[in-house]
Amino acid sequence: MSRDFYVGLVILAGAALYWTAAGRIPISFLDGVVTASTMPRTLALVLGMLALALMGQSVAARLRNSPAAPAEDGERPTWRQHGRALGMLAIGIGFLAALPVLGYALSVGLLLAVAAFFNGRQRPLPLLAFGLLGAILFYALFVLVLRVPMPGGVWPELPG
Amino acid sequence: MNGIAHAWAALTGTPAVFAAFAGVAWGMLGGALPGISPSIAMALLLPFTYGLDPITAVVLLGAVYVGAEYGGSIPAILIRTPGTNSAAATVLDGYAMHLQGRGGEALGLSLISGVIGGLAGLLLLIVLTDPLARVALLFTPAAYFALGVLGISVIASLSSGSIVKGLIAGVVGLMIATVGTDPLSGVNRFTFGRAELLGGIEFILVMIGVFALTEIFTQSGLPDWDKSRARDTHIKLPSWAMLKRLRLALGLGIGIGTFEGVMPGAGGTIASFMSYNEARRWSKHPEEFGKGSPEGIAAPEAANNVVAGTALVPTLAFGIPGSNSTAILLGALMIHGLEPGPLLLSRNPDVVYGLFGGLLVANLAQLVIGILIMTPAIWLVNRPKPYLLAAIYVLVFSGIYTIDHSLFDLGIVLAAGVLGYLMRWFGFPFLPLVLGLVLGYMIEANYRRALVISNGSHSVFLQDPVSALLLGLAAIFILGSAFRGFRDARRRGAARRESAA
Repeated sequence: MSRDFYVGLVILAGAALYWTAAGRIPISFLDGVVTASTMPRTLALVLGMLALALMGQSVAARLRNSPAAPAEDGERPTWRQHGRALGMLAIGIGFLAALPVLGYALSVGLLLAVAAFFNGRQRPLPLLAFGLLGAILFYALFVLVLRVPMPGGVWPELPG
Repeated sequence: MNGIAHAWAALTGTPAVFAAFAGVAWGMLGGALPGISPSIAMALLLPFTYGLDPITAVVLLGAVYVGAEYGGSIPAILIRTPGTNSAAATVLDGYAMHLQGRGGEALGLSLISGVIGGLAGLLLLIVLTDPLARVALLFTPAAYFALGVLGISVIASLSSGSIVKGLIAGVVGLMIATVGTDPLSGVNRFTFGRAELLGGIEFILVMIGVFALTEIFTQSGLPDWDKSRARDTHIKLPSWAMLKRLRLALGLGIGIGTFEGVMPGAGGTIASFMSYNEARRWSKHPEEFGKGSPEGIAAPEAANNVVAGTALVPTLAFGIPGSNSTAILLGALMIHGLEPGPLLLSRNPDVVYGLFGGLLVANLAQLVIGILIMTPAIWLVNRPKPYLLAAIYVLVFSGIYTIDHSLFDLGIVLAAGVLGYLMRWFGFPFLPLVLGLVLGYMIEANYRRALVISNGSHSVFLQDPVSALLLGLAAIFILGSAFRGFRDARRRGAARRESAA
């Protein structure tokens, strides 16, 4: 079976889950002929039908010995590219975890340095300078100029 | 006359002129970076528009769109890498001119053609929006519901690849829009006990995740783009005689750009390539194309700048954005409590005419900023990609945190980035998803209102003439696209069997 068939299968499972979750939406006294779950249930049904259509399209294309859709229908990144994307995602998650603990300035400096390192800049001094200058610049822009109350981290509590 | 007064009031009573200049500069710098499309440049600015008045916000974003179209031609001409998709046609003759030592002339041609195209697009936008918006009085809740369905159907059917995937993306967008407290009955839907989800998932988070983070994840796995050695390139504006020579190419670019712009889903890329082909067909010097023809730059650049104006016609008149960039502009309008669509012009003429005035300033500002920005743009393009990706990553997170000061929102953006990456990998278009998300509330609220009025009878959607017409059009788009897909698949299968034989 082609890739689209399995994608359709996953979407079908998603539609079934959504349908189940939609069934648990409580009914309000304000509801009339149409309740808060009417639209979600309709969407689940439509998504299920579209998933079946995608799977059918994939099977029909297989029988005809033709690609399901033209070449531009989806990119084919290499596993190395997926690895890079996953790495960037992990760096982002790390930033989210670090932000409330380390505070904005330090987290941003680390994010800049780690992301640049991960993408191929490996000389320590330029990386350090980039992280430091970037952190100062972003801190100045968001905290000092735009006055956004960015997370301070544990530092303000330490002296107390 | 009232329109001119509104535009004047907007330009003099708000910082819209400053926003137009700033937006053009940001757009040009963003457009000059390969991988940063106009929509990404706009999405990165979107969080900062929360604190602005609606006119300044939409002018800022509209100006980014205008500036990015020219910005994309800078690396196209200097390093043979289009900064935006719609600048791809400019590579053909722009880079050839650069190799001949005429890079400054190519940039000047691109800039002037863009300004002419942009002004023509703006004029058409003004002329076309008003009459279309007059149909507002015909719209009932059933018609609004049908309009939303038509919008998603059109975008899904015109997106590249399978229509089924386009429709799935649209439905997923509608599903995301159902998260949160139901505004009509007050019950919670899909909140999983999280207080952060009670207000729903803001579409700005999904837009930025899908457009900007997906690009960051993708770019991380791609090699760095070439660097420009032309640090001393200066723009050389075309002479009057040259402009006379380009009349036909500019006219073709404007004509094709107008048609493609008002057609949702077509966009600047198709318009620029079609204009390039037609300009070559009608040129007195077709042999020069591909070797540094001025017409080969003028036609596509005029076309993609016309599209930047005319693509706003369906966005403002019907609330149906035809491209990623106009979807973000639509989002900006909704962030400020405005309802894009047939009633926008009558309810908020100050914003619409303010946007028109701002776009006029933005197009003229291109002439000044386009000349001044050359050195910084080349400097930026020459920065190592790892530093740029890291800085954009920080900008995304910081911008999102600015909106609600919420770490949860940062998680949503990351999740939307993953969703966008998977969608790109498996060939699902982004625009129907974003459109479903943006139009979700409008579609559901009007669906339910229409059913309440009809006492639960779905026949109301066929009895209302406007609704029936729009749903009929949606069906035609879906069936037509499905038929085209079926026919193409059969042809590909036959061709494959023939080549195997």
